[in-house]
Amino acid sequence: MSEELFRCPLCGFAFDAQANAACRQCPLTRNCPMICCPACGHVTLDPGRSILGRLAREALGRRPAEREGAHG
Amino acid sequence: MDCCGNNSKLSANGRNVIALIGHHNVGKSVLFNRLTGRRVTVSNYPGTTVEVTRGPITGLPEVLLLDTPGILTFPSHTEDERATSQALLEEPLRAILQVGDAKNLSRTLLLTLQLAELGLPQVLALNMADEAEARGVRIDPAQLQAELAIRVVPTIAVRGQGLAELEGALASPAAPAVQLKYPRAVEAALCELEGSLPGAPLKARGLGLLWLCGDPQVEQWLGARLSPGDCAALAARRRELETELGEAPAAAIQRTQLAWAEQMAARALKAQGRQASGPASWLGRLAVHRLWGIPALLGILAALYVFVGLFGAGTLVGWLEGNLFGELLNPWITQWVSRISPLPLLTDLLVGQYGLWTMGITYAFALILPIVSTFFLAFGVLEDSGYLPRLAVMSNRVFTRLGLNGKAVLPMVLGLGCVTMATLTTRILESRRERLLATLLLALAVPCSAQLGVVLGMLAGISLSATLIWALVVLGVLLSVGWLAARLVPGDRTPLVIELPPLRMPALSNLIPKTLARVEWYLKEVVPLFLLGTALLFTLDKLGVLPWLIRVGEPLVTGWLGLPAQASTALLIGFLRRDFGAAGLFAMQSAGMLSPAQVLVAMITLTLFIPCIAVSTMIARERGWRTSVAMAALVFPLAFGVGGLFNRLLLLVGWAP
Repeated sequence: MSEELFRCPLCGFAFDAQANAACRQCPLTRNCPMICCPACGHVTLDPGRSILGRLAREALGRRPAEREGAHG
Repeated sequence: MDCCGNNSKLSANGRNVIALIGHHNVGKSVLFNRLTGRRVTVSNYPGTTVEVTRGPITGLPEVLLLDTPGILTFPSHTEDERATSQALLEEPLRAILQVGDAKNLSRTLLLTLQLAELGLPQVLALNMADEAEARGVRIDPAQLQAELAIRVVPTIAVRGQGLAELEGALASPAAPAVQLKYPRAVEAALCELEGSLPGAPLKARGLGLLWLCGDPQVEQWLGARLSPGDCAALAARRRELETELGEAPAAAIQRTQLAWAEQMAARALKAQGRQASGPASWLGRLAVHRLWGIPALLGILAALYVFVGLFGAGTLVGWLEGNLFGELLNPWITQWVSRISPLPLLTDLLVGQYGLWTMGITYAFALILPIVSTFFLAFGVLEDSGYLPRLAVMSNRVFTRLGLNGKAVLPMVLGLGCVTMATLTTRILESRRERLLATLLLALAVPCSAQLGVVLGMLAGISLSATLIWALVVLGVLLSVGWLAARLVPGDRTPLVIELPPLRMPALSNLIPKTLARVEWYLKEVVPLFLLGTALLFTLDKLGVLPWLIRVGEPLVTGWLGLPAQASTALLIGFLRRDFGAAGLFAMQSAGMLSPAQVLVAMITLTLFIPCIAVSTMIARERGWRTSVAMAALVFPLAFGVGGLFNRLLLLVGWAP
């Protein structure tokens, strides 16, 4: 099982991105970051499977503004 | 409650697990990932957690956070809910972190009460506080804290707001001070039960309530710890209670709990939410409105046109192709290669008319990359904002009239991302008829994101009216063929059932990684194909086959479509990838070799053109080679037929942008 769950932007189903790589079924591309939602079939990208996506996520995730901001 | 006011310090005992519990779609997984440092891609529609996941809390590394499946209410019914009950009974729980939807306070507080009666220390995160506020719901957390004696923290998990305060609350969670009075018969049964239940990690009263309500997981847990005789005695007491109450104990218990939750919510609400009154919900309703949904869609397309067409294809391409590649890189590299290359053939292969650099790399990076990057960004906004399901609803209305209703709409919408993958998505359709129709329409008239970006970019270089004409023609063909095919291939229809999440403002922290991931995927897939296609053209040119092909295709390309003979090259490489072909036409347009009318005809033809190699292979795999060949045999003449007829029409009316 993957360490993180991916949420489908179409139906909201949370699933293991690694176990649902769409490229396994694609006749052309291998190791692309596409994943296929097992609930609705929507194919989208998992930024966690891309170098640029991971780098950007880490960079943006470290922003202090996102960790603070206690509400009310 | 006897444990009122007792704080559970983290170092107190060996219990080091905090269970994250909440209803479906309240942002549990987002909060889990925020608190544990594991980030998921957050789109607009919060989903359900289907597996129990755990991880250390970043700010409290000695504590494990357990992400349980979403629960509707206690007693548990579904497998997911039973997993939550199981976690409560079997995990070494230090506390419960309940995630609640601030918009639905009474529903949230019902679960708060059910959890509070289990006697474990508890913290309540009132999530989606921004959406609640947008709907006019003003909650007084201090009031709730005072009444429940637990920490109540408003959060906006997707933005990470309120997390510092939440981590602080989790460091020393307090046990709730709730003592609800049930009907006398229930209270009497509870008193008896408390003495006969085995030791449990939960308070005996709470366990007794779950048992009286018939929670199957609790029954199983007790069955494993009590003798059959004791179990039978408990069951007999429950039946007796049912007789006394004249209804199932669960009904009486839940009614009491619900009344308490509603009263508590009324006291804590400073302002009652106006039902669907925020701008997001107003826009959400507008987007699927039978009448206003259409201008809303047109507005979105217009924004897409300005951003992708004018900014991406105009400003960015102008700078990259004209300035960087055209004036700086290409002259310098051509000069340098010519100087060091020992063979003229090698020079030609690298920097000639069909050179790997001057054509393959330049097309991929200077022409296509800026366009698809802006398109991917815009598509990400649509995806994360929750517009895609609404687009499916809007399309469904049109498709229903054509006999193409139902789930078949989804692959059409998703094809705008990647047609190859959308073809794969047709598997979700239940009937062979729907799968066949959806595949045909995808192959014929649904441009993928890259192609759509290039088409928008090229047409934006002409005028808005050119873009609208293109859209109307392609949509007209799509609907006409769909209508005809639906009548030729009769069968049952499957209705579209899709939940509509609220519209949300996409978060940059999700949008940027997603867009960059798409760009990376595109470059990995496209650059090798562009280089392969260029090498193929180069070889055909050197062998003298390309000039022959151009000559052979001249009656069709020049005579029928009214395009320059060189457009044959672009159409030829369009077989490899339609966006590669479009890039060739883009280069011709930039060089002033195509008039606006010719660009429009070329774009219509190429959009309806035979699908790329990847799509064709996928169709063959999913529907069989015969279907794939039959579709190609239909699509190819149709694309040229419509393109040629449109050329005649433009000539006839003397269209000018």
